[in-house]
Formats: sequence, structure tokens, C-alpha cells
Amino acid sequence: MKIFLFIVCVLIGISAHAQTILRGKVVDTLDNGLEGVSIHTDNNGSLAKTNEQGEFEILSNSTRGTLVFRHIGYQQMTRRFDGADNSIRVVMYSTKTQIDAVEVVSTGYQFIPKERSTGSFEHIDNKMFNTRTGSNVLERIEGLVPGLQFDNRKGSGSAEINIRGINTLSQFMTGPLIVVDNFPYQGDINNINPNDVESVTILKDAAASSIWGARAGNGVIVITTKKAVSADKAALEYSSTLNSPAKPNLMYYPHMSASDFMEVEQFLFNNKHYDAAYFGNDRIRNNTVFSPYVDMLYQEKVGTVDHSDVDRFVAQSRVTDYRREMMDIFYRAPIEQQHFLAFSNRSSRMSNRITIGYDRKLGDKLGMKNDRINIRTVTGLNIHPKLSAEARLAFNEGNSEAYADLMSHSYIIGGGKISLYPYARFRDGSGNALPIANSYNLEYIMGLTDRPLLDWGYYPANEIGNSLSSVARRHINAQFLMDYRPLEGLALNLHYNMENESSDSEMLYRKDSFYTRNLINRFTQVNGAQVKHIMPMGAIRNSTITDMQSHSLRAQANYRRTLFDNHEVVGLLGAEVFANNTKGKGFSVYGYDEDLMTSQVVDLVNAYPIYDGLAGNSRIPNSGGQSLYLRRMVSFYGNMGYTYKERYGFSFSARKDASNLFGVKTNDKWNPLWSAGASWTLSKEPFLHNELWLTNLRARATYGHSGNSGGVANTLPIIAHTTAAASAITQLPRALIRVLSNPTLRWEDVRTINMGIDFGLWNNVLNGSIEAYDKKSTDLLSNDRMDITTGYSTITRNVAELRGRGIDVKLTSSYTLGNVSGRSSANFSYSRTVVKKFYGTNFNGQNYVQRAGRSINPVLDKEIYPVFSYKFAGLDPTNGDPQGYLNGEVTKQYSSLIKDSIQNLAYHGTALPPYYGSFMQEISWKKIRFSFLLSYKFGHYFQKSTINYQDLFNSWIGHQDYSRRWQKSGDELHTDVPSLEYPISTNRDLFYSNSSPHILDGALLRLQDIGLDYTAKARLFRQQVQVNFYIKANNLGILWRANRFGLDPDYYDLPSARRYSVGLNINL
Amino acid sequence: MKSIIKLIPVLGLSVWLYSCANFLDAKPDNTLAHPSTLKDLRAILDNENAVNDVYPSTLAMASDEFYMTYKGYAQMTQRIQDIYIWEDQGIDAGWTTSYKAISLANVVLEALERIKGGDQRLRNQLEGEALFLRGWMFFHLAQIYCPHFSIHDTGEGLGIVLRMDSSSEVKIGRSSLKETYRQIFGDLNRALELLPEESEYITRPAKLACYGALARAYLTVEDFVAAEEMVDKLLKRKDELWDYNTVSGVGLYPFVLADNIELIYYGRAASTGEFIYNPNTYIDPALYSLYEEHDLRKNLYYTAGAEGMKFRGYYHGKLADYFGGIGMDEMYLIKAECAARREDTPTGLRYLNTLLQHRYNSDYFNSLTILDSDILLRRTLEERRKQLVCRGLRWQDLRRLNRTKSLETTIHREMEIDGELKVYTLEPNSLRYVFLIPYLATEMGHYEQNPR
Repeated sequence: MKIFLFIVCVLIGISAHAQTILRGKVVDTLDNGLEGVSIHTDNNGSLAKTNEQGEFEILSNSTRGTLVFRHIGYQQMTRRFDGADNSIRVVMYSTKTQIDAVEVVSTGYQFIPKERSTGSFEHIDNKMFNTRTGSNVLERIEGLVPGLQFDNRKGSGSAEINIRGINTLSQFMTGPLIVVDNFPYQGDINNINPNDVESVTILKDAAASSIWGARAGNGVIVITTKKAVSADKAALEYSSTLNSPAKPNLMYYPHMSASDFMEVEQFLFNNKHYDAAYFGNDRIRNNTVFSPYVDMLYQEKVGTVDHSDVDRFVAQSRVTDYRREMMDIFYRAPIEQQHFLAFSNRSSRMSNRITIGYDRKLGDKLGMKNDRINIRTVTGLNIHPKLSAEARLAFNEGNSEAYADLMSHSYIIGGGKISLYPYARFRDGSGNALPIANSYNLEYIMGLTDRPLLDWGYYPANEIGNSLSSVARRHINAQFLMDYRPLEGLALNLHYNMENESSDSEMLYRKDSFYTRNLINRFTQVNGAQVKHIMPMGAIRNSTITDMQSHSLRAQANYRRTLFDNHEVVGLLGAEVFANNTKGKGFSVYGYDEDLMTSQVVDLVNAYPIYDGLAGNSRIPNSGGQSLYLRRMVSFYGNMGYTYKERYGFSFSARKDASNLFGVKTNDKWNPLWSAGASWTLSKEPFLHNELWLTNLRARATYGHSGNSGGVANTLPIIAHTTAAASAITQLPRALIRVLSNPTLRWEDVRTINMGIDFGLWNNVLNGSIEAYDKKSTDLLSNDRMDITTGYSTITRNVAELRGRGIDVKLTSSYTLGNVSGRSSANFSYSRTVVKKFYGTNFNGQNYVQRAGRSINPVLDKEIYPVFSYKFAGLDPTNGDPQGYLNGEVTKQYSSLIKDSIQNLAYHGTALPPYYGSFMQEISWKKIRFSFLLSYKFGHYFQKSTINYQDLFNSWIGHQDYSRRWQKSGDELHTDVPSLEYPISTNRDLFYSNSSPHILDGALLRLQDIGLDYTAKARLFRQQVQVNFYIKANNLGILWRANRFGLDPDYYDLPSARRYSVGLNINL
Repeated sequence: MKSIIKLIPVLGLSVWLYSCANFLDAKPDNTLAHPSTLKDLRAILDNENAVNDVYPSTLAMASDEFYMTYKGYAQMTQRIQDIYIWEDQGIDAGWTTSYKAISLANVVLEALERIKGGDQRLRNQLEGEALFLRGWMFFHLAQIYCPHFSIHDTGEGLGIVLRMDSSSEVKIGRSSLKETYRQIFGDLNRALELLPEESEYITRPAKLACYGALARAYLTVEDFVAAEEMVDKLLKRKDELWDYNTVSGVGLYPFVLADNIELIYYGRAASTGEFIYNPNTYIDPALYSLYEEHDLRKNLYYTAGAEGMKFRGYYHGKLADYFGGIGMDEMYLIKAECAARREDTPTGLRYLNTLLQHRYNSDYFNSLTILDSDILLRRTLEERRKQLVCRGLRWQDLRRLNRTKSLETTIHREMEIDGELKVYTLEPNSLRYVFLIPYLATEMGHYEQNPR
């Protein structure tokens, strides 16, 4: 042993005095050799430069050390060596496209190098951000980092984003704060052109986000837009993308077949289900929609239609499914185009970037159109070595249009019905539009042709374009920053941000539209030969205008200095005032002429009889009114960081906010929050410095409080003044009582502990981080049951404490094998939020099983978004009735079953995936790069829809489960779908549709994106031009799912359509 | 030095902030307010939805005016089903809507104590309206959740919760029956002192409405002297009846609110549409059979449906929610009943004939001649049943009249379920004439439950 040590020492001693030759090649990201890169070693300053091919040779005095590579326009690179090496290969990254060699994260108040932060940040750089195409900034970051969850169940356009779970019970407050260039964004996030975005930072823990105070309880997403190029030069960038999503697939819906539907109609007809309405009084009959088949059955009964006609109709209809024709006539495959041009310039005194973007989208329904123009400038000016200024101006104009009232899968035809009958047809064999019942009995409407009325029929195929809804939105954002550096390390900032967004929405019902014809007819009075129209003959136009203005002013002092070599101090102190007002107004005009823009006055005061007594006397419907909302906030904040010997870091931050909450005394308006953290860079410790495989190792921990602004106590009742409804007896000003006095509310508080380890091995060939967090959200506000003797059933109270725990893991590996280089990254997140304390009162079971998992619903010791169901005891073998358990007994007492208390329900778990993550793989070969992204979610549950007979009978909402229903004894062995029965009890449906067979495992593996791109370099006008072509596909589909029904648990409705894109980037 | 420079912007901002202290006091939403001006209170009491459209639908659904076939019954919610067959298991038969209006009245009364000054006449009117609403809602709650009470009773039974404030917690239990009625008459009589003679709108109560309400309430507790006194005071001020000979009856719903000169105070059920408007709900054939040949109401009130007669004579012309306010016809009937009960047959008959004259075809109408007060009473009660259909009054009448052996009525629900006829019966004076306190209230407030 001793001998061995001796030999090692000798060898080290020898090598310490030897000269080591190092050879290698420096290339850029496209594998082109870089000329003129300066290289030196860290020990004696020996210097070399690369040749035309990027090759170099350098002598070192020691066998170990670090090589430093520098080149203008590229980030500095370092590479450790140990002994002679002839095949060093270094890739240098252009500073223009990537600045994350030293990852700098923005909190919105300051930029901090990630290696010095104690908090939990996720950084999405420009390259990662551009993995996906699409015009929405937030959609692009889905699946890229751990701890960030997209709840797309309401559709990907209305995703609810959460960072590390949910810390509040108020559904509308679960989302993170979104900051764009230092200030919370007040406008519509769709205003931002993703091409303008440089990077996105996600602030996950209290230390990261507490600087944002009371609004940061759910984390913060900071979006940083691009500035001018960093090198002294001018640059031009052009990009263009064409996206083509697939046509919506309506066949995904589990509809029932036309023949099943008609079978049920025949069954109901035999049971005289329709008789009461069909033979009821005029008002009831005329306002009830019957299907053509039911109409025919009645006609057959009185002999006006032959049995053979009915048979022919059935034979033709049973193979019809309206969805096919609907997709043909009213839907289309959307097309999206994006064009973007940027010009950027930098000199020693001034820098500038001007961009212009144009996007155009044609939506998936006829008439849907979206245009967006972005113009943005960023100008930086160095007035004096100690004084600089920056100004930003962004203008956005968006126009969208859609055909209102267009027939679609979600169109409600009224008259008591919700869906269409499956055999509905929109055109006959020769292409003529066919009428569909809408609000009224079709037979009645079609029989009115000899009256002095406008045609009262609703012909979906002719309605296309008859009504138009449009929104024109303009957004201006101006920012001005002064930066004064009077002393070394000290910078004083004054920051002003202004936003103005105005939107003008319009709903135009043209004269020929069903909407207008219907209103004109309803308000037509016929008295013998005398005809009086209360509504003028002409279009109806409703306009709504909103105008939002916001101003923020921030004064901040930053200090950063290294004292006595080893002590680095960073601090900031600031104050901010924020004001936002949103004004709205609306009005309607009638008898509108689109060309002349004239309109006619109508009587909105008096009620008039409705044609043929179809309804009681009514006033002409009118939409209008005015509103004003004000939000104001004053904040003081500060933060301090201290690093000793680049190894030991400490941080502290605090903030106090006050806002104009209504009904709150001034003293209660202030809510102080703070956080503290520490970090330890182990890899810089002397005892690890020699472990060459260990490039980086850092441990950090933070503790802090953040808040959710919410309702705070009101000692007096709050009333809201409203306008009378058109149907009211008097039009006097009125007010309703919003809430009774509620004097005991406290602020919500989120306490977060975060611990993390960052590591990099073998020169960052493998790097990553593992973080664990624990969140305790106390005094959470929620609607709690109150004694209905107050007249109100719920009131906001501090009812619960949530405990959220989770782990975020990120692993990235970059490697090269000859010409092929690859990068793999994997994300894994685990997050569970459980209600630890609950002071409220539970509702009965029905509140938890209906739409299970679709609301936060706090229940003690259960996770949020709990999925409950009624325990199912199979079907009754004698008649196919569903059975449940009541006090352990099998029973069919549905009225008691549905009200059973929550303890007796089956609890499955949460509807929000507790485990989720993604895997991204990139492979580059020369100039070609291929990538794909897989995402997975598991551990969650969802409720599938099923047949509800009451809905089928009355609203025509069918379900394919009908075909699996119990029909004869023995069927209960292989089906759980109850028998068809008449009349049906609501409670039987309610019990069955919310019972356990409909709760399914939500686990899935999805192929999210695939991309292929090719980059070429050329010389044009003595300029180097870089051209990048790409083909991408998104939402490719589910590779594996746990449920056997082919359902996509990520969406309540249709899953996002598959999308293909091709694009091109030119940089010069 | 450095720290001073650092502090300049912060200090500057603070000074600016505190110099305009109002900055954080701006209202986030301009429509929000604490009830702090008489204008606010006027607006609260003019909110028809919360003040006028609040009468418990149970009063129509539990009485014997309508019946429903099983087809319709099966579609109804648990709440309506339970009320319809009088087998409630603690569903809400009108508790929340009534107490919501009571909270509203208390919000106004509390605010009036806080707000100083202002026009005294307006203050009186607002206070009167609030007291009227509170007393009137207590009265309606008592008809559902308390046994019948007569002034001859000791009134020791369970009353309702007499909520006198608008806080978000209820700290009191149920009062006695006697206390409940003392409060009802206290509120209504105090309102009578405060309210103006007339009001501009039928949605706002005035003295006239208050006399009407008191007349009904005194009749209910069988204080016929007081009831008649109230009617007399009312009739002195207004006594017009609507001659149904002038109603065309052409439209599907013949009565139009604007033409109804009999209307004293506007009120409407919170929600009975689901029940009454359902195609499977019909009028009780026994009631329909009571109408004589030239009775205009036979046509104006009813129309043929698939399996029976459908009701169409909504007194206020608003479909499907019963008229819950006060009308002149009811006053004539109270007058006739009270007169008959004190055996003043000529007076009673005069009022009854005046009413019928406005209800029968004038070409065929012959005044009634009745000499016996008991016969007059029975005829008056029959006319009461025929006139006040879908007014939320029949339930109270059943409870009241069942106390007299000779006027008792047993009511039934018949439904054909799977080929079998199922019959539910409500015996006179049954405990089921008193609904259970909703479990949503008892679970939180632990109120003593009504006996079963």
C-alpha cells in the first residue's frame, strides 16, 4: 500500500514539471471550424489561436489545468484537462442565440447568475423555447421543465397552468403570475409574438418568487424579450412558419347511433312520452322541438303518412350520422402562417432592435379568422459612462372574426333540446339547405308560410356568414428605464411601464340571420290585415368596448460588490406603485344597415306581445351598460445576497404590499412576506477540487412565505348595484347583496421549503438537478357551507390547510460520437397536495361525485381535485336497475344513495396527475438535427361520460354505452349499463352516471412533438448567411393509455388536433 | 452617503403616497358599496328578484290545486317530488329564499341605524318596507314550518327562527309559535305606521298592501274581527274590481299585468315553473268541476291539455310562477267570510255578489240569494277556492279549515307506477302539514326538528 502511494507521488511530481501538449479543434454549433479563437491555459498564460479549420495546439506547463477559449461573438468556454490530449473538441456557442453557459435568470427585478442563486429557478433558453411552433408563448413551454403542469382539460387554448401543484382553493387564482420584461403583464398574453421572446424563467419556490409578494403564491413565469445583438454589428433575421392542424374529428365523441336513437324514440312514442307536449296547449306545443321521426309517427297514427313512408325514412336515417355532413359543411382544416422580421444594430453608444411580425390564422370552423401584427422596438443608449437609458415600445393589433350562430357540434337548438338527433341532415340530395328545428316546433314554423312573417325556418347550411362576431384589439406597451451608476457597485434605476389595451367586440346579426328574423317575427303583431312590426327590418349590432390602462412606476437601488476578495454582496431595495383601470361600455343598435351604417330607434321601455302567444309580453332584448374597475397596489421590497469565497451563499428577501381591496381597513391592506436561503458550492471546496469528474456540485435550501391576495374581512355587508333585467316589472335602479358581513377572514399564506442539488459530471456531459419541496398553505379561503337560515348557503371562510410535497428531477446529457452529437433530457415531477386540516363543513355526496375531479373541492385528508364515486353493486339481474350500497346493504333507494355522506363514497385519488414529466431527445448529424418529445402522466383518475336516460329522453344527449345496456337476465354478467326504462327516475341516472365503473385511470404516454431541421451557411454579399429549414409535428397522439375506451383523459372535450409545421429562418 | 442616495427614491415615493391617502381607498369595482346611503337602501328594496319574487313554491306544489301524472313526476327533482307527496326528508321547502329576504330586510334596518339624517319621509318608507318584508316572510315561513296557529291557542308549539340581524352566523334557536306570530304582527303593524298611503310602484308596499297582508294574517289566525277591520280600512281607500267581461281571453294567457286594476301588491313565487308549467301537470278535476256554466273564469283560467285541463289564468300574466302578492278579490272574499262568520249574512252576501258580478258573464248573472250564514260561509269558501287559484293561498286555507270538523278536506295524490295505482293521502291536521326543517339548516344550526 505504501509502495503504491509512493509511486503515485513520484509520478505526480514528475508530471508536474513536464510540458504537456494539447491539440484539438474548436467548432461552432453547426460543426464548422472556428478561426481565430484565442486559447490560454489558466496556469501560466501560454497563448494560442486556432487556424482556418479551427484546429489548435498549445503547450501547458502542468499536466492538469483548465483551457480557456475566447472568441468575439461567442461565449467563453473552459475545458479541464489531465495529461496530454490530442483530440480536444470544443463547441463554442454564439452569444446571440445562447447566453446560458453562465445561466442568468431573471426574477423580473434583477438578473442573477443561476450559480449564485439559492432559490429554485427553471430557465428555458431560446433554443428550447423554439422546440415547438405556434403563436402562443405559454403553449410553447409545456413539458419542457419539471414542476410546471398544464391542465388542458378545458382545451389547450384555455390551459390552467400550475407550478408545483396548487396552493389555493380559489379556482381562478391557481395560476402563476406572468411577468413580461420586468412587469406583470396586464394585457392578453396572446399579444406577445413568440419570436420576440428570448427566454422564459420559472420561479418555483419562495426565495425565487417572494420578491413578487402577495401575487406570487402560485409561482411566477418571467418572460424576457429579445434585445439588440451583443456584438458591435448589424443583423437581420427573418422567419416564416406554416402550421397546418388537422380538422377536428367529431367522430371522437361517443355518440349513439341513429338506429339506436330511433329505437328509443319509438319506445318513448309507444309510452306516450311526447303526448303531453304534442297535445298540450299551443304555447307548449309550439315551443317544443320534436324530431322528424316523432312527427312522422304522429302523422302515421292519424293517417296523413303511410307506413311505407315511415319505413323508407327509417331505412335512410339509420345510416345517417350528422357529424360527417357537419364536418364537411361547417368545419375545415385550419391554416396558420407566421412571418417575422427583425433588424438589430449595436454600436458603442447605442443599440437598437426593431421587429415586425405578422400572423394569420384560419380557424377550424368556417369564418374563423385571426390576424395579428406586432411591432416592437428596443433602444438602449449609453449617455455617459455612468448613465444609460433604455426604451421599449411594443404595439400589437389583433383582429379576429368568426361566424356567430354557426351550426357546430356544440350548437344548442333550443326548444328543450341540447344536442341534435343523430340523423339530422343539412342538405338534401341536390344540395339545397334543409331546415332544422330551432327553438320552435318545426311543423308549426313551416306551417306559417302564408302569414305576413319573414321565413321563420332555420337552415344551418344557409346561415353560414349570416352572423358575424368580431374583436379588434390594440395593445400598446411602453417602457422606459434610467440606470445611473454613481459609485462602483451601486446602480439606481427608475423604471416606468405603461400598458393600454383596447378591445372593440362586435356581434352583427345580419337581416337574413335566423337570430334577426326570429326577433322580428316574435315582435310582429298581426291584427287581421293590419301588420305591425315592433322591431325594425334590418340587422342587429351589439358592440362592447373595453379599455384597460395600467401604469407602474418603480424606483430601485442595486448594489453589487466584492469586498476584500472573498465577500461578495448583492442587494436591492425598491418601491413600486401600480394602478390599473378597466372601463367598459356596450350598446346595441337595431334596424342597422351595414352599408350606410344607419340604425333605427326602438322602444326598449315597453313590453310588447309576442307573436301568437309564443311567450308572454316582452321587451326588446338589449345588451349594454358601463363598468369601471380599478386595481391599485403599493409595494416595498428588498433583497440581499452574500457569498463567501464563491462557495457559501446566503439570501434574504422581503416585501410588503398593500392594495385597494374593497371593504378592508387600511391597516389590514398590508401583507408582509419574506424568504431566506443558503447555498453551498461543494465542487469549489478544496477537498473536491481535484475530483475532475465532478464539474459542479451545489446544494441549496430555502424557506419562505408568499401569499395569495384574496378577499379579506368585511365588517359590513357588500352590495352591488345592477341594472334591471329586460323582464323586470320596474326599471328602477337596484342593488343586490353580494355578501353578508364577514368579519373574521385572514390572508392566505403559503410557506415553502425547498431543497435542491445541482450537479454536473464529466464536464457537464451529464448534468441535472434534484429538488424536493414542502409547501404548507394555511388559512385558505373557500366557499364554506353556512346555515341557510341566513338566506345564503355558502360564504367565504378560511377553511383549510393544504400540504403540498413534491420532487422535481431534471437530467440532461450531451454527448458526441464522431459526427453525431446528441442531447437527451428527462424531466420528472412528483407533486401531491393534500388537505391536512379542514374547518369547513362537507356537503353531501352528490356535490363530490358529479363532474368528479373537475373542481378543487377540499375534503380532509384527500388530495385536491378529488375523484369520488358512488360504490356500485352491479345491475339487478331481474330488471337491469343499477344498485348501490347503503349502510353496507345492496339497495336501489336512489334518493338516499345520491345523498349519502362523503365517508361512504369510493375515493379514487386526484384528477391532477401527481406524476408527470417528459423525455426529449435531440440527435444532430452534421447540419441535420432531429428531435422528439415524449410526455407522460400517471397516478390520476377521470370520470368518463355515459348514458343518462333522462338527458336522452328530454335533451337528446345520447351515448354509445346505450348499445351495451342490460336487455335480458344474464346481461348483468358482462355489462354495467342499466336497462332502458320508462318513465325514468332522475336519481337512477344520477346514481349510475356517477358510480365507480366510470372512474378510469388517467395514465398515458404521449408523443408530443417531432422535429427535423437543417441548417446551412452561405455567403451572400460578403455576409455570412445562416439558413435554417424545419419540419415539425405536434400533438401526434397517445402511444399508450390506461383506459380501454380510447379516451384522452387530458381533455374533457376534443383532444388538441395534430399539427404539422414547416418553417424557415434566415439570419444575416 | 450611499444609503442616503439609496433612500431618496424610496422616501420620495412614500411622501407622494401618503400625500394622496385616497390612492388605496379607490373602489375596485364601481358598482360595489357598503349600504351607507338612503339611495343604497332604496336600491336594495327595489330589487324585485330579492324582494318580490320570493314566495315559497311549496305553497302551490303541496296543495290540492294541481296534480301531476307519473310521467311528469319522474322528471321532477327530489325536492319537488318530496313536496308533492308530502314525504320530505329535510329538503328545502322554502327556507333559504324566505330567510334571504329576511336578511335583506335586516341589512336595511341595520343600515338605517348607522346612517344619520336624510329625508325623514324616505327613512320611514324604507323602514316600513323592510319591516313589512320581514314580517311577511316570517308569516310565510310559519305556514310551511309551523303547525297552524289560532288566537285561541296557547301557542306553545315550535315557531320559526326569528332572525333580527344580518350577520353571517345564527346564534338563536326556534321561537315559540306565539312569539313567532307576535313578531309577525309586530313587524306588520309597525310597518303600517311607517308606510306612506300609496306607492308609485306595485313592487313597493304601501299602507294598502299592509292592510291586505294583515287581513290575510288575521284571517289565518282566525281573528276574524281584526281581519274584517283591516279589509274595511283597505276598502275605504280602494275597492275597484276588474270586470272579467272586459277581458278578451283571446291570447293563451288572458290576464296582462298592466291591465290588472285589482292588484294591490306584486309578489311572485320563487320558482314553481318547473312544476306548474310541466306538460304533465293539470288542474285538479274536482276544482274544475266547481265552475258553473257562465262563470268566465272557466275559460279564462283553463285550457284543454292532453290528459286534463291546464291552468292559464296567471293573475299577474307571468307564467308558471304563482302570484304571491295581494289582490282586491281576496279582500272581498275575506270580508264576505268574516261577515258570514259573525252571521251578518246581508253584508257578506253583498260583497260576495259584487265579486261574482265581475266574474260571471253579465248577460247571465243573477245575484245569489242566501239567507243562512252557514251556507254563505260554505259558498264563500268555495268561491275562495275557485277565485284564488294558483295564488299560494290554498295550502293555508286547508290548514286553517281543517281545524273545523265540518270543513275538513283529505287530499290525495294518485299516480300510476308500472301499471299499479299508487295513492298518497294527506289526512286533515296531519303532521305532514308541517314540513321538516331542511337538513342544510339543522346540520349547521341544530334547530329542534318538527315531529313526524
